[in-house]
Amino acid sequence: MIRLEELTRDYGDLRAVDRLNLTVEAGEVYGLLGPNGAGKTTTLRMLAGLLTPSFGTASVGGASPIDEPMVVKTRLGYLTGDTALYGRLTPRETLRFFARLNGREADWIEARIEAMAEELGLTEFLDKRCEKLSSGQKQRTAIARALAHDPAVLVLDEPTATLDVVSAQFILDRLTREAADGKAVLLSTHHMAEAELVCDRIGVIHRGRLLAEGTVAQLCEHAGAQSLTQAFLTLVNQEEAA
Amino acid sequence: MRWWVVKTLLFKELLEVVRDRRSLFLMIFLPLLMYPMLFLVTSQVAVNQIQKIEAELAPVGITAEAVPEGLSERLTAEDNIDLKALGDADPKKALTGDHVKLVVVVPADYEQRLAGDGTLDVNLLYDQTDMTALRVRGQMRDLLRKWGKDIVKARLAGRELPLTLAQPLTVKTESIAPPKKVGGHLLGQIVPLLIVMMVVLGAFYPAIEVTAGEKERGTLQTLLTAPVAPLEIISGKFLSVFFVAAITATANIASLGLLFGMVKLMPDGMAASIDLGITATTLLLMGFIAVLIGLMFSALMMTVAVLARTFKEAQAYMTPVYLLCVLPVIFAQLPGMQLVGLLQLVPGLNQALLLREVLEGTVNTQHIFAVVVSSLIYTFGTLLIAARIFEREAILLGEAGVMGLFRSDGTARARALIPRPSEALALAAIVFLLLFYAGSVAQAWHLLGGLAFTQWVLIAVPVVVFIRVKKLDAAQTLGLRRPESKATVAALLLGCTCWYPLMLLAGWWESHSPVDPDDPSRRMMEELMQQLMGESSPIWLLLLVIAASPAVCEELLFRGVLMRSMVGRFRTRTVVIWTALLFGAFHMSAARFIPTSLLGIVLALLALRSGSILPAMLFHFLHNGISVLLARLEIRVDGITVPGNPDPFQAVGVALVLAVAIALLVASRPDRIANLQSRLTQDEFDG
Repeated sequence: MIRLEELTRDYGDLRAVDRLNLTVEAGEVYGLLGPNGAGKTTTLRMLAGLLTPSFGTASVGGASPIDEPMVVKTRLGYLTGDTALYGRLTPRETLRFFARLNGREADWIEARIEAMAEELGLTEFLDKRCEKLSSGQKQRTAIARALAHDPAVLVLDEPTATLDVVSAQFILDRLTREAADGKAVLLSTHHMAEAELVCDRIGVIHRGRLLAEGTVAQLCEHAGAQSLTQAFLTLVNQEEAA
Repeated sequence: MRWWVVKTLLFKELLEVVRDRRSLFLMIFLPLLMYPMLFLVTSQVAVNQIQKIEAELAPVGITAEAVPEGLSERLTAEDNIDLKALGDADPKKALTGDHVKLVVVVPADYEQRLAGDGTLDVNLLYDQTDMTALRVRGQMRDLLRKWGKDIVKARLAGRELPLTLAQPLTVKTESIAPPKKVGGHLLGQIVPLLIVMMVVLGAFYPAIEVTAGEKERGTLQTLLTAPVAPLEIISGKFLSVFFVAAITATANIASLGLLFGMVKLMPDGMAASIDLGITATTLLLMGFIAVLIGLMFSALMMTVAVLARTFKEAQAYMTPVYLLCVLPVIFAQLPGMQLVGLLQLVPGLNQALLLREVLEGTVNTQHIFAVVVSSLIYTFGTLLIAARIFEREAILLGEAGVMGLFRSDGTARARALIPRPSEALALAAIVFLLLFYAGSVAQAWHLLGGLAFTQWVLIAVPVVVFIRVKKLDAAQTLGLRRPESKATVAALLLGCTCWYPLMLLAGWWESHSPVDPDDPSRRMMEELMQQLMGESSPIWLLLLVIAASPAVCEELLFRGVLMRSMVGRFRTRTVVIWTALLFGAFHMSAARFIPTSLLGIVLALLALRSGSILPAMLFHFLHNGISVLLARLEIRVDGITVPGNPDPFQAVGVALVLAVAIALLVASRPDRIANLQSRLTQDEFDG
C-alpha cells in the first residue's frame, strides 16, 4: 500500500532523510522508531505530499504524492505531530469539513460522524468548541479527523506524544482495530513500549537512514539484543560509531 | 478549480470569523458606532462651544473719555458686548489683565476730526488666540462699518447730496456650484479616508487569522493533507476575507446613511455642519466603491500575511502595508488631483479619487469603468502571486517567513564567517541614514571634501567597523581575492564602453521619465555637476573623489558585505536584482534610479562571475572616471558632447566591444564561489 524507494530529502547540506526504502501492506501497522531529529516527520511529510523529495519516490497504492497529489491525499488520513484543530469549530464541524473536502456526500458524512463519535467516545463533547476541550479530547478529535473520510491508509506522526497512559492506550487500540479492518497504518514514535505493543513491523531510523527493520524478534536477533530498547540502542550506537 | 471545495473552505472560514468577537466588532459594531460618535464629537461639541462663545458677554474698551454717541446707539442692539470708556488707561494692560476682550483705539481728537469731515483711524487690539475676542472683533468691525456709513449719510445729507454719490457701485456674488459640491468637497476630504481605513482595518485581522494564524496553530498543515489545491485554498480564504471587508464596507456606508438621514431631522444649527445633500444613489455608489476597495486590499493584505509564520510576525508586516493602503487617500486630497489619464489606473489612488468624485457629484461612467476594471485586474494579479507564494513549501510549513520567498532550496542557514543578510541590510540602513543626514551636511559645507568624507568616513568606515565587531572573515565577507581572469578583462572592456549605452539610455529616460525636468533634485544634481566640473579643481582630484573613492567604498558595501551575505542563500538572480535595486536607491535620485540600478546589475554580475570584488571596483572606477572626463571636456571644449543621437560607427564599435565583454563574462567560471560556499557550509556543520 505504502512504498518508499530511495526516498531522500536535503535541507541545504543537511541530509534529513537518506535513501529510505520501505513498504507497508494493507492490514499492517508499521512503526518508524527513532530519536528526535531522526527524519521521521520529514519522511511522513514527503509521503503526504507536504514536502518534495530531493531524490527517490514515495507512493500510496501506486500513486505518487508529487504526480497525483489529490489521489494520494484522498487515500491518506494524516495526523500531524501537534493536535492542530480549529479552535472555534466543534468536533462535529471539524469532521464534517474534512470529510466534505475529501468529496464525501452530506448523508454519508452525518452517518460517519455519529458512528465515529460512538466508537471514539466523542459524543459528550461533539458540539463543544475545540478550544475548550482537554488534550485527550483534542487528540481523539484529531484522530477522528484523520479517519473522517474513511481513508485506506493512516499516517500518524507521534500520535500519543502528549497523552496520558489511558488516552494513549485508547488510541493505540483504535489503530490496531483500523489495521484489522484492512487499513495500512504507518506511525512514527520514539516510545519503545508503544512500538512493541502496536506495530507488526518496526523500522529503526537514525540520521535519516533506515538502520534495520522487521518484527521485534527479528530486530532483537539482528542486533543480538534481549529487548527492543536494547536492540534500538545497539543499532544507533553502531551507526554513531560508523 | 473546484467551486464546491472553495465554498466548503469559505463557509468554514466564515464560521470562524462570526465566532470571533474581535472581527465582529471591527466588521460591524465599530462602523456603526464610529460615525455617530464622530458626529457627536465634532458637530455637537463644536456647536455647543460656538453657542457658548456667542452668548458670552464680552467687555470691550475704547480709548476715549466716553463712548462716542453714534457708536453707543448701535451698541444698544448688541446684548453680548459691554463697551466701556478706558480714558487714559493703557489699552495693552487692559487686554493682558483680561479686563477687556478687545480695545477700540481711536485718536484723542476724534470728535474734532469727525466734525471737520476728517478721517478717523481706528485700531482694534485683541488676542488672536482668544475665541471670544475673535467673535468680538467681527462684531465690532461690523458695528464700526455701519457707524462709518451713518457718518457718510449725515455728511451727504448736510450738503444735500444724494447717497449714491458715495456708493457708485454695488457688488453681489453668487456661486453656481450646487450645494452638494460645496459640502461634498468638505466631506470628500474626510469620508474617503475613513472608509478606506475602516475597510482595510476590517480585512486586517481576518487576513492574518486565515493565513499566519493557521500556520501558527498548525492547522494549515492539517488542511494541506486534505485533497485541495493551493489555488482553491487561497480562493476560499480570500473570499472569506473579502466577505468580511465587504460587510465592513456596507456597515460603514449604512452607518453614514443613517447619520445623514438623522441630520435631516435635526435643528438647523446642528445639521448645518454636515448637511451635504447626500442622496441614496450617492450612498449606493459609495458602497460599491467601498466594496471594490475591500476587494483589492483584501487580496493585498492576505498576500502579505501569507508570508508570516506567526500572528505577531504578520502584524509587523501588515502595519506598514496598512499605512501604504491609506497613503493614496491622503494623496487624493491634494489640490489639483483629478481622476484623469494614468491616475485612473493607480491602485488605491484611483478608488479614493472616484470616491471623492461621487461625493462631489462629478462622477462619470468612464471613470467608474476604468477604476473597476483596473481594480479587478490588480486583485486577480495579487491573488495569483499569493497562490504562487502558497506553493512554496518553506512558506507553507511556516519554516521560512518572508525570507522563504527568496531562499533557494538546498542552502545553509548559518555561516559564521560571512554576515547574515539581515545584518548586512541593517548595516546598509545605518549607512543610508548617515548619508542622508551627515552626508548632506558635509557636502553642503564643502562639496568635494564632503563627497570624499561621505565615501570614506560614512561608507567605508562603517563597513570596516562592522567586520571587526562581528569578527567576520574580511576576505570572504568582501570577496577580496584574486579574480577570474576572463571576468577581469570583461570588467575592463565594460568599464571603457558601458557609459555609452547608459548615456543613450539616460537621454531616452530624460525624454520619457515621469520625473519633472524641473524636479528640484535633478536641478540640484546638474548644479552639483557644474560646480564639480568647474576649473577650480584639478582633474586628478576629481578622479580621486568621484571615481576612485566610490569604486572602493561603495563596492565594499554593495558588492562586498551586502552581496556576499546573500550569495548561496538566495537564487543568483535574486542576489543580483536586490543588490542592484538597493544600489540604485542609495543614490537618492528618482531621475537616476534606473541607470544606477542597471549599473548595479553589471557590477553584481562582474563580482559574481569573477568570484572577486576587484573587477567590480575596476569597472566602477573606469565608468565613473570616463563620466568625469566627459563632463569636464564638455565644459571646456566646444563641440564635444556626449552622444545625443548615436553615430552608427561608434554604436557598432561599442556594441562589438560589449559583445566580447559579455562573451568573456559568460565564459568565466563562477566555480570558485560555489566551491567556497560549499566548503564554508561543510566547515560549519563539522564545527
